[in-house]
Amino acid sequence: MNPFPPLPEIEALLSTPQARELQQLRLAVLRNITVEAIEPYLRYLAHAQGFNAEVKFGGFDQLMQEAVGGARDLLLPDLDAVLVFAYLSQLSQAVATGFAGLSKEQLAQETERLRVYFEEVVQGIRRQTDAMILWHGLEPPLHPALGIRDAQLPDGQSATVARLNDLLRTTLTGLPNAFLVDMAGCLARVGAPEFYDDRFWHLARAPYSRLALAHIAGEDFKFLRALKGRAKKCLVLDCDNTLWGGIVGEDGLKGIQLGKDHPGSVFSEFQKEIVSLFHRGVIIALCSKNNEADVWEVFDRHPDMLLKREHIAAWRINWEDKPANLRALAAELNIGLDSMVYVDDSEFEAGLVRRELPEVHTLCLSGEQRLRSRAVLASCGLFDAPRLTEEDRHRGRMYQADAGRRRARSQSTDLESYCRTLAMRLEIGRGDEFTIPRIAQQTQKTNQFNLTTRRYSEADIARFVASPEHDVLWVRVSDTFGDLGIVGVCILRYDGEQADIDTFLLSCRALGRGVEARFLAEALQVARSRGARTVTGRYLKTGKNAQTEGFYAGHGFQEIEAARTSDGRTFLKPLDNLAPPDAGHFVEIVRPCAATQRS
Amino acid sequence: MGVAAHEVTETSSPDTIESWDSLQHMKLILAVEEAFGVQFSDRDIVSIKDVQSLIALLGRKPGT
Repeated sequence: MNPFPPLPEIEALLSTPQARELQQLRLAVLRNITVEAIEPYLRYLAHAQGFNAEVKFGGFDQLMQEAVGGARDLLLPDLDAVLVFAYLSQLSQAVATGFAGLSKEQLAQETERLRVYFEEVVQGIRRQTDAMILWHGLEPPLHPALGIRDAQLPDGQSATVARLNDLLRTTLTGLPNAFLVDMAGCLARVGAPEFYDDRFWHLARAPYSRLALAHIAGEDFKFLRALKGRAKKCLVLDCDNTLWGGIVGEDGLKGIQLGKDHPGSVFSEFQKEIVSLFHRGVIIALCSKNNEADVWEVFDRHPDMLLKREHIAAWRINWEDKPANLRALAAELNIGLDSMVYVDDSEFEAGLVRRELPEVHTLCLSGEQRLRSRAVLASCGLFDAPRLTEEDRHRGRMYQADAGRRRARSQSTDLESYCRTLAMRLEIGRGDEFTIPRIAQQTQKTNQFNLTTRRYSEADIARFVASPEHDVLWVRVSDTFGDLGIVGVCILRYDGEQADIDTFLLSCRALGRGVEARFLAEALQVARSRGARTVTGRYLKTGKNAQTEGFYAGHGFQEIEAARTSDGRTFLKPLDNLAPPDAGHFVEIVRPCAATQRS
Repeated sequence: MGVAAHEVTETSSPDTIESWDSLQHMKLILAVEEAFGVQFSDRDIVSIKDVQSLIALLGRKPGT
């Protein structure tokens, strides 16, 4: 799978005036093979980082001559990086294709010749420029020269190629700003049949396929990103369905998926990768819509949590929108938003962050991506640094010590206009035989946005549906990402001209979009159309539903102070001056229940 | 190859377009393969002498 757009699209993108005006990134390529086809991929990746790359190729098989000073206008002092492709078949026929016929003495001589060659090329480049040197290492032989015996020998062809890579590494790491690019890793990830293109090897001495070159360019850019100070510093994580499966506020501590067995093992492996990044100096932060206590309960009490409190430098666990929380985290940690990577399973949340904060690198791990989450994080290279310092090792702890010291002010997010771009559609309907099971299930499962937390069976709901004293309403949400299904329930009970909201709840995946306000307004229209003059709503406190305590007061209800108890509050609203129905930021609201008559 | 689209005809070839060298030939083949979802053999590639022969060969390839 080629991770890049088709070539004409890349060309079009790179030829815009804006692309040409970006800061220059100067690359030179020394090679003993044809690799010109890598150019569009290098330039595309540079563009994604805000650079206009200029790639100059040295002459075919002029590697040594150019390295030691034979090329004018190639290895200039102001270069950013020199990419070296020294392909084994061109470098040493003896090792690549004549290996079986080599004596021990000949092999020793050839190895020494190559060691000197590596040394001279690297030194030669360094004499001309201080640019970063990226030497593409040797790939292991696919079919070792001595067949199955090769792997048994300390000096077989595979072992010899590994030794040559060791020599290269020693040569490179002896100099500042010179690095070995892991070609064996690129080969393994792409797979040999896709990595090599034998046609162009024979026609043009171009061994690598376009797909291989795309991956190699990606690997090179992990270095170039770090060189240019574009490496990311901070990983910000959502919690529910990202760090563990399920929703802790709904499923409870014992109900979430995390542990050694499927499906919890997927999340455990993802956490292991996060802990690895922590040890590599990446700052870890949390940004999630939860009750804070629920999240810390998982950290403190779940036996399979690998990520611990001491890994977390800062957090925003609340019901604010994510862009505001990310801004606050950046301010608290004193890092730029462009140093952050944000991971969420929700396309809605990821989309909002991408739109509001394009400088944050957002990874959306939803659906089938879920299983690859560890690999996505491990392969992204966003946090890569070619060297690890002592400070890197302790950075996470340093930031944690700082956490909470500063209090940041959040700026408002243009949530409404984002919601408009999603073309959100609400459908409100009455309970019937098709929806009764889902309605009952929601009353049983929903904990967080649930005003009264009354649990009902299907039989209870069926009774309400049949009763003339009740209205059972559901709300369904869809947007450009898809259909969320029925996400909310409201049960109204009538006593003469008095309506009471027996139940009002919304699934947490539909929160943060203004659905609750619109659903309440529509429910009140229904109540008034039934002849109700006033409506009451109750907030019954549980361990989970603190976020709903201010809901009625926030929507024009007055509290009846006399009815207040330690675990309950009652609110009242007259229905005489109800505002007319309004679609707000929804493209459409379907109301089959708007009429007074019931079918 | 730095040639305007309207200047390319069926008889355009490495002889009429100066920049059409072996490297550009390879880039052309790779771009055509990507755009049409086809794969040429090594013999196909050397048999392509001009735009006309490329089109003719493309016509005989099952696309994907």
